[in-house]
Amino acid sequence: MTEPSRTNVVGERAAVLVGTALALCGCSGVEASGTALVLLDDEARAAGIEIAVDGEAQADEGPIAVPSRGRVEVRRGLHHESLETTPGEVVAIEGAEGRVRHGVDPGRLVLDGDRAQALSFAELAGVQAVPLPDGRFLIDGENAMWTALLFPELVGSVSPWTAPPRGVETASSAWLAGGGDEGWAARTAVGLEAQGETPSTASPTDLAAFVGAYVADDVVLVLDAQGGLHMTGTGLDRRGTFDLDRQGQLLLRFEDGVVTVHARGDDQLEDPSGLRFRTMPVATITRRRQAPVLDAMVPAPFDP
Amino acid sequence: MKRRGFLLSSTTAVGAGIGTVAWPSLISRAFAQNATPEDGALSGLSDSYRTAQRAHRPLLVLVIPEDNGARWERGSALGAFLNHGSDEAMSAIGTCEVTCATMAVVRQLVPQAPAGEPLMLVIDAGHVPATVTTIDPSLPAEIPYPSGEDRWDAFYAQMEARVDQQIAVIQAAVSAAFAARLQLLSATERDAARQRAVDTYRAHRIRGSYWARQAGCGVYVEEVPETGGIGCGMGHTPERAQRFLYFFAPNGNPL
Repeated sequence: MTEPSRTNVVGERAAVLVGTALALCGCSGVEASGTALVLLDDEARAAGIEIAVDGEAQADEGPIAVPSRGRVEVRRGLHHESLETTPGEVVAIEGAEGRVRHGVDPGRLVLDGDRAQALSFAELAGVQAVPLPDGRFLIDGENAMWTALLFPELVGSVSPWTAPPRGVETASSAWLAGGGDEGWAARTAVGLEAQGETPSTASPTDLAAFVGAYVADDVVLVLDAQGGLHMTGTGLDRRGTFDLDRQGQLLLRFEDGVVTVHARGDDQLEDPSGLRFRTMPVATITRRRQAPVLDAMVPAPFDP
Repeated sequence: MKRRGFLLSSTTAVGAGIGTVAWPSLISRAFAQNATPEDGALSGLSDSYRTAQRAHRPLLVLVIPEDNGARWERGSALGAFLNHGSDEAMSAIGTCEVTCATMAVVRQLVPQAPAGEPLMLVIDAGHVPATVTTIDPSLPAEIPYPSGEDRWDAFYAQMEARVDQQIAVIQAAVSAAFAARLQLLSATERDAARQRAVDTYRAHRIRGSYWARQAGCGVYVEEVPETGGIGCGMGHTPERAQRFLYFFAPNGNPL
């Protein structure tokens, strides 16, 4: 009998713990039960901004579960503002002025903790932990935010993830410069020893499932049926190959570097910075003929 | 070019009060209403490929020629086949994800596609690298135009026969290409596949093309609002080729 791998043990343990936790709180499918999440970032907290539910201020450091039909307020000193949410939504309160940002990605949060804390949570929840340059960790995986709600002591202080603004160097810009993962790591992150053991969030596990044309802004990425890739855009024309690693993550191999991306859902590829290539949208029939026509000449529908 | 020459001869015949032959290419050349933009062609092929891969179906690409005149000829032949092909051939079609694309677009996604412009490609999308086979039967040659007025009836009959030959040749090639696959299916499954082909590809637009109809003069493109043409009623199109695959982008819509 072979000894179970650490990943398997952790995965089983996580499944049990998460299942138990969900059962205990009676909220399997918590995001669909009329609850929303509100998350204050560090600046907002430092500015004394609070979330109150039915008049009671909430002191949680992590995500705050609020009833989407309850009386929820954002309290900025004496100014109390009603906060409307929809079930399952994640709302971020950001900055010292407490800007309200709806529709936050529930699959991502920034954990302000140490490496062990990040890895423990990542293993427990079956998500990825990616180190950030400021020492914090990007937690990335399906419903990471909701899972964090279940383990407040382990997670501690968290913030919503904000993708780098355009113009700031990202993993993708490193690709375009030819740096690959190593280039990206040198710029924005440090290596994570245990990263090879964290489960992939990729949906497809078959290389053929990735073949297709993708687009991000003006950049087109074609993963072809021969295993080649072609990335084009303004001033950009790069070729390479692609394959899968042992964890099912997609490796884009350029002449001067390798980029690891993963699938989000069935039609998106994403790099660790959050830049997503989406499958190229299919055009639809919308335009009509401008010139007048003789309606009487249009034949009846075809009847095979 | 021969077709251009024929347009001239047709015009002459109209002037003489005699019925004319009107193939879609001639109408297109006369009206010149639609360009052939390839915008969106890659996204359509990509989407079809991914659909085929996920459904575990072969991707059948009906190849659109680069030459505009050839687009009419091939669209007519393929249209006749898809509308009037045998049950067996339609069962084969129903096992596939079908799309239309030029070879230039195909090679962007499937670089190993062969040279030239075969009639069809069968791509096994289940693996990387994908395997690609061709279905490329020799279609009956064009019929020379009649030189005298008294030969028009015979010419029409020859055109009808040629369309029948096109259908026969294509369905034989398709049936042969998918024979092994069809043998694995039960009679019920074959019937279901045939029905899928009818419901999906005969009744509705095949990506990369439009269904269009032309019975004498003017082209009506299905599923595109407000397309039509002037019905002069003086042209002739073989009956089984009247509904055909239109490999152009009507009114600026995507192919």
